[in-house]
Amino acid sequence: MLKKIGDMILVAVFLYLVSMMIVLGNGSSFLGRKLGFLYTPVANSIGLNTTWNFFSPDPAQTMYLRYRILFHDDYGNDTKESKEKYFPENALENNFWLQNRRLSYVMRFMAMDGARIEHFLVPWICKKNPEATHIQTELLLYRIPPLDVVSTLKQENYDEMLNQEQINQMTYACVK
Amino acid sequence: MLVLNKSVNSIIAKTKNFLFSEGHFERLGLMRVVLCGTLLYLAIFRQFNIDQFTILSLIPRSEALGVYPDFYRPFFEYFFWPDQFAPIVHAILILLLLLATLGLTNRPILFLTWFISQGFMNRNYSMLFGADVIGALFLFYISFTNCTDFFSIKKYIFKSEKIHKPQIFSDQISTVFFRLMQIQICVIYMYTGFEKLKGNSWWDGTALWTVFANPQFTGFDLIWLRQFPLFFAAGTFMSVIFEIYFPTMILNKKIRPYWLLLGLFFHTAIGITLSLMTFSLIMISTYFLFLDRLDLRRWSSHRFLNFKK
Repeated sequence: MLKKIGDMILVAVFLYLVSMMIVLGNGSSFLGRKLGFLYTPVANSIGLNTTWNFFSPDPAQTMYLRYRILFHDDYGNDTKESKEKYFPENALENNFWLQNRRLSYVMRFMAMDGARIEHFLVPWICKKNPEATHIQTELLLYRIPPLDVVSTLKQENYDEMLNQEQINQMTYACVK
Repeated sequence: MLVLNKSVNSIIAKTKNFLFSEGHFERLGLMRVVLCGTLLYLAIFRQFNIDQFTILSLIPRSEALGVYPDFYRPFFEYFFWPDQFAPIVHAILILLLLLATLGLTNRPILFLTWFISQGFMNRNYSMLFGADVIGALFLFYISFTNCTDFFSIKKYIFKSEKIHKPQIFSDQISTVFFRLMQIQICVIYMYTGFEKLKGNSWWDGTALWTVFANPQFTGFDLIWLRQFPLFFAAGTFMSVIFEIYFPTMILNKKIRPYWLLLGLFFHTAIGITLSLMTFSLIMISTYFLFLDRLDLRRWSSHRFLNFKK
C-alpha cells in the first residue's frame, strides 16, 4: 500500500513539474496567466520560472554606458575637472574574461531601464567618489548596419557604416 | 469495461516502465562531471566579482529581490548569510562544486550546493549569465538523483557496483528526476526556438550577422564574413530549425545521434566564436542524458577510466 502511495506521489510530482515547464515557458500567454498561480510559488523558488529567450526576439545592438563625474560648488561652478568613464571601466576593450563579462551584463541590465541607473548605478558611483556632486550618464548605441547593406557595399569601410547614437543623457545629483 | 481496464493497466505499466525501470547511473555520472565542472569554473571566476555580492554591491541587499520582474520574483531570500560573509560562503560553494565534480558528494550535500548557488543568483540578479540560470536549474534536478554512482572518486574508493532497484523509493526519485531533466532540455530548446521566431531578424535570416558583427558578443573580427551573406542566412535558419525540432528529433531513436552531433557542433561553434563556452558546456552536459547507457558503460571500462578496478 505504502509503495503504491509512493508511486502515485512521484507520478504526481512528475506531471506537475512537466506541466509547469510547459506552461511557464510561455508564462505571459493566456494559459500562463490563468494557471500561473498553481505554479509560480514553486517555480519562482527553484528558478524554473524563466523565459527561454537567448538572443531573442532579436540580438542586442552594441551598447556602452558612459558617465561623467562632476564636481560643482553651490553655484554650479566646477571645483575640479570632471572625469569621464565607462561602466564597466574597460568596456571599450571588449574583454571577454568572465569577471568582465558579468559587469557588461550589469551594464545592459542598467541600460534597459533609466530608473535602474538613477536608483542603483548613480548612488554607487557617488559612494565611490565622495567628492562628486553630480553624475551625468549617457548610452552610446552603435547600430549594426543591415546585412543587405554591408554585403552590397563590400568595398566600403565597415566602421564608417556604423551609426552611433547618444541617447538618454541624464544628470543626477549625488545625495549626501 | 474489460477493454477500458486493460487500457488503464497498460498505461500504468508503460508509465512505470518509463519512469522507474532503468538506473541511468552512467548518464547521470557523466552529466554531473560536466555540469558541476562548468559551474565550478563559473564560480571560480565569480569570486573575482565577489564585491558585487557584499555591501559594496551595486544592488543593495534590501533591493536584491526588488530588482526581479514581479512575475519571476522568488518568495524568499536564499542568501541566508550576511553580506560580510559572502566571500567565505562563496569559497565554500566552490569547494562543494569541486566535491560534486569529483563525485565526493551525496544528495543532501548537492541540494545544499544548489541552495547556496541559488542564493548568489538571488543576491545579484543583474549579473546572471544564461549558463548560471540553466546550470542552477539542472543542479537542482540532479541533486535528487543517484549521480555519484558512476564516474566518481567515491565509486573508485568504495569499489562498489550500484544496482538499480526500481522498487526502492530512493531509486525511483532518481529516475523520475532523470526523466524530468530530459524533458526540461527539450522544453528549453523548443521555447528558445519559438522566441526567436518572434524576432524580425531571425525570421528575416539576418540575426546571426547582428550577433557576429557585435564586438561585445565576439572576440574575433568576423566582419569579413559579410562577403558571404548566405552563410548568415543559412546559419540563422539552421539555429531556429535545430532548436524548434530538438524535442521531435530526440524522440526518434534513429535521428537522435545525428541531432545530438549537430547540437555538439552548434554549441561548440557558439562557445568558440561568442566566447560562451560555459553556456555551451552546460547545454552539452544534458546530451549525456540521451546517450546509450551501455555504450557509456563500455566506454567507462576502458583501461584509463575503469573505476571499478
